Amino acid sequence: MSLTSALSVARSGLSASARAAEITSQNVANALTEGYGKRSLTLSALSTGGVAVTGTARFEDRALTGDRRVAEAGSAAAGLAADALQRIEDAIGTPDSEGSVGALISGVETALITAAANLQSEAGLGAAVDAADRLAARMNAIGDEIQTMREGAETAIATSVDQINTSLRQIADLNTRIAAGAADATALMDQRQVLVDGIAAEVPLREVDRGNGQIALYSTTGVALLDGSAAVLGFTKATAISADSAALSGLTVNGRAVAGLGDGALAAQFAIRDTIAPEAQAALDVVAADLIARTSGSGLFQTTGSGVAVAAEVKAEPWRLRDGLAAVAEGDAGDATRLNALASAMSEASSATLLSTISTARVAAEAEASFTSARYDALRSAELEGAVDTDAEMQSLLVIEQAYAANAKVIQAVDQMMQTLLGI
Amino acid sequence: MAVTSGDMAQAFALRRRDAALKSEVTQLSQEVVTGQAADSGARLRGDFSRLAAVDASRARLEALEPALASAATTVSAMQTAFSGITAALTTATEAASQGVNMSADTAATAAASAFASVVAALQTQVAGQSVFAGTRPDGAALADAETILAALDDAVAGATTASEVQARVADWFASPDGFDAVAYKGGGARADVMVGAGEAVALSVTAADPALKQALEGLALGAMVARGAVPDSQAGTLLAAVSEKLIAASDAVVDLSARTGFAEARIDAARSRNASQLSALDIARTEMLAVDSYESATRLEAVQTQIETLYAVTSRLSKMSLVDFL
Repeated sequence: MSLTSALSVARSGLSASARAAEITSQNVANALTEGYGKRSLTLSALSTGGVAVTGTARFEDRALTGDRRVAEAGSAAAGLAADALQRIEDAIGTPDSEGSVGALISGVETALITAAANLQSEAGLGAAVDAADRLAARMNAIGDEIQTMREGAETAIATSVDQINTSLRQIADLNTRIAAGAADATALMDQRQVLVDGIAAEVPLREVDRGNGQIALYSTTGVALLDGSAAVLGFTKATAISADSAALSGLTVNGRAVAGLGDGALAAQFAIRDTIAPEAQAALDVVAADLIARTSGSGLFQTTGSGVAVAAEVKAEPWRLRDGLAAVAEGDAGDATRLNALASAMSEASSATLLSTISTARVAAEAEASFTSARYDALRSAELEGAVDTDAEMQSLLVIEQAYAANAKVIQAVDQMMQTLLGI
Repeated sequence: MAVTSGDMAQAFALRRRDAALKSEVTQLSQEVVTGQAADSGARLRGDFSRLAAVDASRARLEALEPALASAATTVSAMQTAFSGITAALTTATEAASQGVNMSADTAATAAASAFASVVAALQTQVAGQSVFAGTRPDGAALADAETILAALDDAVAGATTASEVQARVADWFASPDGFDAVAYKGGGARADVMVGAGEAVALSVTAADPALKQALEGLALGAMVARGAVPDSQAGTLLAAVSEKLIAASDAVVDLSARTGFAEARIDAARSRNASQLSALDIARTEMLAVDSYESATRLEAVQTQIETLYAVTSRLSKMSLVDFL
């Protein structure tokens, strides 16, 4: 009878409204969740009458998310490179900062000039040796800092590779569960999105739909990270790195060596370890070699195993600066010839090329970082536009309330009609 | 166009803007306080060669100033000594030429006292450093006058004629066992004084300089007469020789004094040149790194106002929610 069918239709309307309210509360509860895709209800009219909930749709803008992920990787990479170069530049020191390499080189020259003018006191010679000692110590410290950076990059690479491998395994697992038709596939998709975002900052990748809710992941260089089964990244961490370390380990995917996985944070760490730091070390070595060549024969700067240092004989007996490293005994107190020659030699020594090389690279890297960061900001804002809007949810809640009240009213009316019938 | 606009989008944009403005404020406040660009690398576009050169030159000139000041004192002490020596030589020359005709004793005594005063002049010290001692300024330049004359007495003992005495004294002054061993106590010639990058002034006069040795030889010869090295008959001849020697020596010492005067002038010129170069370098350095404090203060004000506006907008937007109206 049409009355009972009216009742069942109204009941389906009630349950649809209830489901809609549940979706709305789910959305509002997850308004701040990362990786959450806005849920919406898909309804369809039943041919037998009433409304049916055909499913819950999860909103996602694949193209925008993909672009945002690539931009995020680029921004992370540029930021790491700029930071590394800033660290090296700070270690070298700009001329307006105290204790910079340039100031210390100048300090050695002025100490020699002062010593030559005040030869009656040995203190001048001692001060010149101290100045050279400070310069040598600073240059060795910069070399140590650069090697520490390389070791830091090595550790970061090892950590990232472990993290990526774990995430890929988890995503493969989620893929299987989603494809198998789990009860709440959309929640699993949220989790999967978070995991993919985690990998995307390290390795820029593209997500490809494989049907049935499954995805495949490819790096922008075409290497398959996840297609059915998860790839395994390999990396051997070196325990200690020094300037003359033998070739360090590269990246392998499923046992095969790959040149690189695109421009992300992982690639940036490799660049720091293999390009930025060694080039800085080489430039530093050029300055050290120049100093050693300029002061050869005086023992002021000599090469040691790990850097540059003042000769021990000169440190013990500063008068050797005045009389020569190979002098047998102390000479005349007033002989300034060697000191004048050393001061002239030091006046042409300069670390400006070293500093300029690093600084130019740093400024360029910072410009790149700010550009990629701005691009990432714009894409992320656009992506977040599609996230939950509580105002819209409140509006739909009003409508749902109305619909629920209307359906309930229909049931009430039909009930009254039936009562009237039974009351006959 | 999307129908809805996510909550997080607005919050994200406001947060990023706030962070950018805050870092700008930090940089600007540093620039206002120090008056210099906060990021010198960005300011100089990574090229530090000019700034490094300016700084190196400044440090060098600042270190040279005290060195040049002491060199100037030394060289003026030298000039004072030379004028004293020239005066002594003149007195002795007059006395010697008169003594040829008149009292040999007076002339010889005058020569002896002139010898003593020349030796004293050559012992000049500045700040505890012997000026004429070459590379051994910590000791005296010459032995004292009496020691030298005693050694000469030994050298001329037994000589009878004036020419023999003259020859023996000349030998003593020329031989390495005589003057160089007994009288001269200093070291070799001093190294040049550096007055600038690659520029040096030679200040290498020692008490063993030929002109000064010549003066000492002439005066010593006169002193020998006073100490009775020759009989009175030969005294006149010897004094004539002394007079000749002293005239030649006087010319040589004046020449030496002129050359030292050139060195003094060069040192003074270098000092004033360095001083003006120093102030020019200071100006260049300021130009390279300085920021206009008025401009940075104005920008700081503007950015602070921007931050306050951002805060007001954030608070307004957060109040605009449909929930409050339901």
